[in-house]
Amino acid sequence: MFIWDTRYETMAQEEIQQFQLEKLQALINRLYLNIPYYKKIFTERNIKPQDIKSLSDIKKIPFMDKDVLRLNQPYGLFALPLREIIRFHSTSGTTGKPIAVGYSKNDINHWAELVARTLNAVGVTNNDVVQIAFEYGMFTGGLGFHYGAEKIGASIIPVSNINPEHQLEIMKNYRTTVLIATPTMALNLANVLEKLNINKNELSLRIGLLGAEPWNEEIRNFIEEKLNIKAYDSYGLSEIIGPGVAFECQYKEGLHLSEDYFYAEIINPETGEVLGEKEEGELVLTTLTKEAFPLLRYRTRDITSISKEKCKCGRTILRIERLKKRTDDVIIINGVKIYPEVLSKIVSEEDSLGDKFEIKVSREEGLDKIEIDVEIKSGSFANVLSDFIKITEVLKSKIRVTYNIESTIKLVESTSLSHIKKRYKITDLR
Amino acid sequence: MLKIKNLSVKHGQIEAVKGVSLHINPKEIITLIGSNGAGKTSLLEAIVGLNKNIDGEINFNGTDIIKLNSDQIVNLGISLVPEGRQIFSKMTVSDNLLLGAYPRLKKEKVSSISFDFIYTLFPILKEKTKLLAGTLSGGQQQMVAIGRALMAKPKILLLDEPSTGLAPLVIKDIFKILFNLKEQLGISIILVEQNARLALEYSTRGYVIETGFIVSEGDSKDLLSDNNIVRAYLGKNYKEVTDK
Repeated sequence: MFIWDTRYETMAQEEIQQFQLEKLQALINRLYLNIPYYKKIFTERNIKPQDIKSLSDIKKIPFMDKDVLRLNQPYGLFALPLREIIRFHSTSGTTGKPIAVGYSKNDINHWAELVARTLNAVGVTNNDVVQIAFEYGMFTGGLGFHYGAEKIGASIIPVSNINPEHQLEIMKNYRTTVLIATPTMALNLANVLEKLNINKNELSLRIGLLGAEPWNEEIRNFIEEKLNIKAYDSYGLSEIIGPGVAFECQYKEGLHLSEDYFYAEIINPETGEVLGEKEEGELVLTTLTKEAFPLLRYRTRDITSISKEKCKCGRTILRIERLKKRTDDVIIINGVKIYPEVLSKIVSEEDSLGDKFEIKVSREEGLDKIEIDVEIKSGSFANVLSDFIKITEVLKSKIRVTYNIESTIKLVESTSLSHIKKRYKITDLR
Repeated sequence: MLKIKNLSVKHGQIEAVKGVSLHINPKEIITLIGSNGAGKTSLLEAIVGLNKNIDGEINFNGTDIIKLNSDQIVNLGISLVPEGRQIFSKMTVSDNLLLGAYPRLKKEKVSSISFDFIYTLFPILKEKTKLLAGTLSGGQQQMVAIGRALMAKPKILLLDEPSTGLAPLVIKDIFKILFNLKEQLGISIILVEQNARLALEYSTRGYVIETGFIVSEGDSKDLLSDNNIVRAYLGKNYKEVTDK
C-alpha cells in the first residue's frame, strides 16, 4: 500500500486532536498578535486567543469568505513580511479581482509534501513519467503538482495546458505513465484518440490524477475506459494552498484530508451551524501550518460531508466525500468557471433585453455546451432579423472575451421566462 | 505520552504561562524556544509539580497529574534537571547521585542501588565518585545533575538550560549524551535551551513561546529555516538575515 508519510497519515484520532489543538492555538496567537484584521474580529466578538481551549471552541470565531480576502488585498492578511515570501499565486478571479496568495519557504516545502502524498496515494513513484497538463503560472495547479512530483522523484514533463493533439503526441513520444489534468482535458484526449484512430493500448498511460473541477463517477468510468487508465480525484483550492488539500487513495472511497495541515468543518451554509460526521454541508477549512497566508475558518463554497472511519488503505485521517455541488451557482464548462452574476451583468448591458435568462448546460461527446436563453424586452425590437442577429453576436463575443468559451444565444419572447423566480435559472443536463 | 492542554501558570498575580498546549511522544526530544521571561522555566516547574498555582490539564500516560505532588510525579517517571544544576557541592558525587534515587528507596535498599548505568554514561564520574561535587568542572557538575535525575529512572527528562556556563565542546558532549539517552534508553526529553540552534538540531520538534503564549510549533527543521525565528532566537547569522 502506498502511504507517503505514515507518521502523519496514520496518526491515531486522539493524537490528531492534540496535534491540531496545539497548531490551532499557536496559529491564533500568531494571527492575533500580528494581523490587525484578526485582532479586530476577536475584539468585536469579545474573545481572546485563550478562549479557544478545545477544537470545538473554534466556532466562537467568525467565518472568512472570499469577500474578506478581497477587502484585505493584496497583503492585509499576510502573516509574514514580504521579504519572507518566496512565491505568489492567485485565484482565477472570475468573479472579480483575483486574490493574491503568498508562500514562505516552509509553505512551499509543505505544499510539495502534500502533493507528494496525493501522488503517492494512487501509486505514483519515481519510476513514473508524469505529464502535467495543468496550466503553469499564477494558477496553483501546474507548479503545485510539479513540486510534489519532483519530491517523489518522478520524471516530469511540464507540458502545461497546450492542445490535446500536442499533449497526445508528447504522451506517445515520452511514454507518459501518469497524466495530471482537468477531467475535461482527459475527455478531450479521449476524443482526439478516437478521431485520430489511435489504439489506446499504444499509450503507456496507467494513471490519471484529475481535478480542479467537479466530475462524477460516470465521467470517471468513461475516461478510464477510453484511455485505459485508473482515474483518481483530488481536491485543493488556491486560497488554502492549491492542490494537495485532499486526495483519493486506490480504494476511491472518499478523499483523504491531511489533518496535520488543515482543520476541516462542515457547516450549514444558511445558518453557519457546525454539522456532525456524515452530514452534508459546506466545507470550512483552517490552515494549521501555513506561515505566509494562513486562513481561519475559510468558507470554501464546496458541499461535501466528513467521515472519520478508518479507510481500507490504513489511513486514519478523515475523508471528505467527492465534491458534487457548490453553495454558489458557479457552472463549470470544460474546466472554465462561469459565474451567472457575470452573465447577468453582460445581459443587463443590453437595453433591448429583458430581466430573465436561463442557462442550459449539456454534454455532447464528452464536451460541455452552454446555451443561454434571454428574454427580450417587449416592444424594443421591430422584429427585424438583423437586430436579433446583431444582439446575439454582441452577447456571444462578450462571453468569449470574458471566459474564452463559445456559447449559443437564443432570444425568447418577453414573458416566456416569467416562471423563473430569480433573475436566472440554471438547467444542467450533464 | 505527556499531553498538556490549556496550561496556565501563575507566580502570585502574574500569569507566566497562558493557556499552553503541548505534547511529547515516546522516544522524542522537543525544544522550547523563547526569550527570557517567556515562561519556559515556569512551564517545566508546573509539569513536575513545583508550582501548584496552575490551571489546565496535564496528562501523563493516561493519568491526570495536575493535582499530584512533586514526589508522586517523579515516581511516575518525570524528572527535572533544574537551571543552574542545583547540585549539593559539599556532598560527594555518589551521594548526590544517591539522592536522585530517593523515590526508589521505598521499595529498594540503599545497598542495592547501583550507579553503574550512570557511570557507563559518564565514565568520568566513576573516577570522581568520592570527590565533593563542588570540586568538579562545570561540565562534570552538569553530568552529576543529569545523572541524579536519571537515578529516578524517568521516562521523561526535563532539562532547563543544560548548557549554561559551559564551553562549546562540553555542550556538544552533553547533547550527544542526551541524544543517546533517547536512542538507547528510550527516554523522552523536553529541552529548554538558550543555544536553541543546537537544541533544535538534536530535537525532532520545537515550540516557540512568547510572553506565555505558544506562537509557533513545528518540526525542528522547519523552525530552523524560519527566518523570523532565526532572527529572534537563534542569533547566528543575525547580520546575514537582517541585512537582506
